[in-house]
Amino acid sequence: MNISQIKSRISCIIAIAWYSFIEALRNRLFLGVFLLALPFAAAAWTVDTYQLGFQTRLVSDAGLTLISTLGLLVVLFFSLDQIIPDIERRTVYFIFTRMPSRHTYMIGRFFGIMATLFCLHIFLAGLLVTIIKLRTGAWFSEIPVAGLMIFLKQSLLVSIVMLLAACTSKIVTVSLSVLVYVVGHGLDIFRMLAEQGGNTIIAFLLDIAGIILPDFSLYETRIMVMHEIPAQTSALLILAFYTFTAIFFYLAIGGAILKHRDL
Amino acid sequence: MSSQPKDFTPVSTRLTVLSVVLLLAMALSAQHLIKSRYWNYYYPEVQVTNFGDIVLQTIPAQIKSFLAGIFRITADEYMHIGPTKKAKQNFVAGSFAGNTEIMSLLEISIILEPTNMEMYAVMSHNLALYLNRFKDAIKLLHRGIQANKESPDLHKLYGAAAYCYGFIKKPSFASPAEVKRNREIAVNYLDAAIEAYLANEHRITPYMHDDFANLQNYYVMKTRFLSDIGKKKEAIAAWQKVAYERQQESYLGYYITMLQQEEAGLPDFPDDLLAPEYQALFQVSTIKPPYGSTAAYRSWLVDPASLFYLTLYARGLGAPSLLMQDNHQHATLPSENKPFSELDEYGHNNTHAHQHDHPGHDHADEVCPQGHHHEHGHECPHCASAKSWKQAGTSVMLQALAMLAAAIIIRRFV
Amino acid sequence: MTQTVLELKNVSKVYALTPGSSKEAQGRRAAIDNVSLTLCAGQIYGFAGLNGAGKTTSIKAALGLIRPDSGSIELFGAPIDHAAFNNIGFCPEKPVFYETLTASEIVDFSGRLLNISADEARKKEILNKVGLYDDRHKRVGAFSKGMQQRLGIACAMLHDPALYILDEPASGLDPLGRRLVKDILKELKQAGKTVFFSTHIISDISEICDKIAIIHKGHILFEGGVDEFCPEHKNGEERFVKIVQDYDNKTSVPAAESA
Repeated sequence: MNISQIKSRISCIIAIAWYSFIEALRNRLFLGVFLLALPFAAAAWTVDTYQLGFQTRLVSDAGLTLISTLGLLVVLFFSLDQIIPDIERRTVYFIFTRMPSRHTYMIGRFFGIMATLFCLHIFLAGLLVTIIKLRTGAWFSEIPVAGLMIFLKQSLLVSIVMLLAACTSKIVTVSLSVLVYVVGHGLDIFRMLAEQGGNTIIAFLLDIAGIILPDFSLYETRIMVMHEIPAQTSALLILAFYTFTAIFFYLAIGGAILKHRDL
Repeated sequence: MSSQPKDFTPVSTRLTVLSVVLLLAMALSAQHLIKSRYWNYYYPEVQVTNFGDIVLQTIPAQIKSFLAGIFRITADEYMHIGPTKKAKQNFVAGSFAGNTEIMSLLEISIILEPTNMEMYAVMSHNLALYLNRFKDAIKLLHRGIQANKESPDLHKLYGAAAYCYGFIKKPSFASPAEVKRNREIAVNYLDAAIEAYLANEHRITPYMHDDFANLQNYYVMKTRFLSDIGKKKEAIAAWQKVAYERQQESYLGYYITMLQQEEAGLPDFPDDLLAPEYQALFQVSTIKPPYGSTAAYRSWLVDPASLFYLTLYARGLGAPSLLMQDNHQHATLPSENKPFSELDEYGHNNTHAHQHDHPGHDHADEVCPQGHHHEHGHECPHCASAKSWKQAGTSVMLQALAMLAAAIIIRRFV
Repeated sequence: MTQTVLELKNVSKVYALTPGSSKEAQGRRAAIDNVSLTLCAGQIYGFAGLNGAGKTTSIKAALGLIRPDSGSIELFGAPIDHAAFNNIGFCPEKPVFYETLTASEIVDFSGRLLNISADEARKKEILNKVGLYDDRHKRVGAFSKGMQQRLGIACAMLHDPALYILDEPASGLDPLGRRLVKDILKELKQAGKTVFFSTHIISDISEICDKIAIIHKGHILFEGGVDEFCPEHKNGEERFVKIVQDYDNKTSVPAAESA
């Protein structure tokens, strides 16, 4: 691949990502997510039965849970809204007859969702940090770091949803994505249980699954935030590297499936 | 006959229709099941006061209980972490019990599961004894009593109310008249607790035993309060109902014996007998806890040095934030690039002359910076957490590299 | 010698039917069977057939949207390559765009996908040509079927390609819209562009095209010049119906005999 081809692919990715982002911004569902976010964020610090003052830990914990939940909604609904309807409504004909490859389409769509997620996280994490700063006078740097972790985790989930969307229907995609998400959080627990139960075959299968499936438990941020312990830079870098390779892996599989699919 | 399909409904449409029908069927059957299963819980005379109640009633009890459990666990976690380091809080120094952050969580937990007695007790103790919200505490307990009139655990709520009244003001901080008035009310609540306990004794199984809220304790407390308010004879009568073994292990027993003997110079309050013991209690204990190290939190994101504090905390030596504040050497160590080399197993200052430089030191010899050999499987928490971090990081990198290689192969050849 | 722009040689494609279909339909059904077409530069090629005859499948195969089971396809004298898309303007049947984007954004998006920088003047010219310039800031979701069809044609024309592949361009259009499409096709012919379009309106073909192919049940029944198909551009529909009916009669006799 020469430089002009690379440039052409990058410009295609940017175009698809940009218009996916614009589409998401104009989508009423996205507006709904934001409208959901505001009362939730308000409730996080107004839930205070005995007027005992501002509860920093409660607000940051509830706020991060909110960011994670809303991000998950965006991931599931917007990622699903990318590839499957494009194929069902034949919008892909318009795109695939104009661009270099179907991989590029996958990557462009992925970056579109990433941009949407990024905006949501920036908005919500910024809101959370600002509220806490205004009420306590202190900057809680763990919250933006935790926001970044959640963003990385959900980006990885987006790539899995897109991989599944490239080869299955909506119902299957949602079900399998949720399954991967749940299993990905507790692979080590399942493995330990299998080993304790003496079932070596299941333990071996889970070992294999551990290589193929992403380990979402690596993105655990709650302890870090609740105990106000700064994250280790090297761990963050390793995690970022892990996330990008995993995304690349899942999108490569998704792109390969899409490439060989009759439309 | 034509070879063309007559009816060609797309599979996804069929699945969607089937899913909707299935959900509808589940909703309808669940509605009837819940009604028939819990029909005796509907009281027509109870007026639904707000929409929130209607919503709450529609949620199955198991889900409410599950959510309440999550809130309780979170509250417990918050309580043990201690105060926020960076922000001032309404927190009673030296006690985790005054953590105001748990109050909202416990309130939600009670709303979701009004039958959990412990939550009323914990909340009322916090409100009354640490947060200066005595009236709210008693209101809360009355709310609990109203909601659990038929429960075999009802005595716990009366017991909690007695505790609040009995200990809201310590004799040394309040006027005797005030203490007397409060403890008279406390005795009334204890009577109610004992009555509720005895009325439901046949329903109380061994699994329902509570270390605090039990009949023996009620008699012990009643004895003490009666003695405090000057009803010495009634106190002796109540003491007769306390089990013999229990009588032997108590300072109160000593006091009551002295009372029965009509000894001269007996203080007005049993508490006064304990003054020297209290003083001893406030000394910093140097005795190591009898139990072993509990598992550190599985979190590879944080620095092993910070994890060490977490381990200390898990061993019951206090919140990491407090440890860091208290131990200035801990706080300054990272800048000196030799964390914990000066600390012993439990984070205390170590006078031994260890000269380990931790970040670069070699773990291969299985000797930790504190000089502990690991042959017996007892690693110091610091080394264990550092090792687990390395292992986690290595496996993550390996998986990442494998995925990268696979992705390149797929992109290149598939 | 005239350059061959698009060539399909013995292309076959069989679709697997979905598991939910009726028992008779279980199994596999040939969408196109040994389809061979040749389109030369500067020609207007009409591809006629009834609904479900295999027109769209042939076009999808030509554009690489589906992988044929057998046969070969060449675009501009070479196997299908994505680089060729810069010389092709494709408008699918009933094009569907992103509903929240405006017409102007769709045109811009189309240009950016092709890696060309369409300036405002070009966009204006194209949108004016299809009569959508005044509606350029309206969201596509608010467009009628005909407007979406015209927008699809505008996107196909944006980069001024050498080959136009239009799948039923007049489908869903009102008489004025159809007139507009015809005018555009004529204009392209005058400009020396090559156009391959499918339709089931035979009069359109006889009016505009140089060459025609008739596809029925996945088989090419006729390929040749329009003069050969309907001399003096008359009775095109009768000829089309006759060809199709002859084929049906021919294929139904052995089936009846074997039954």
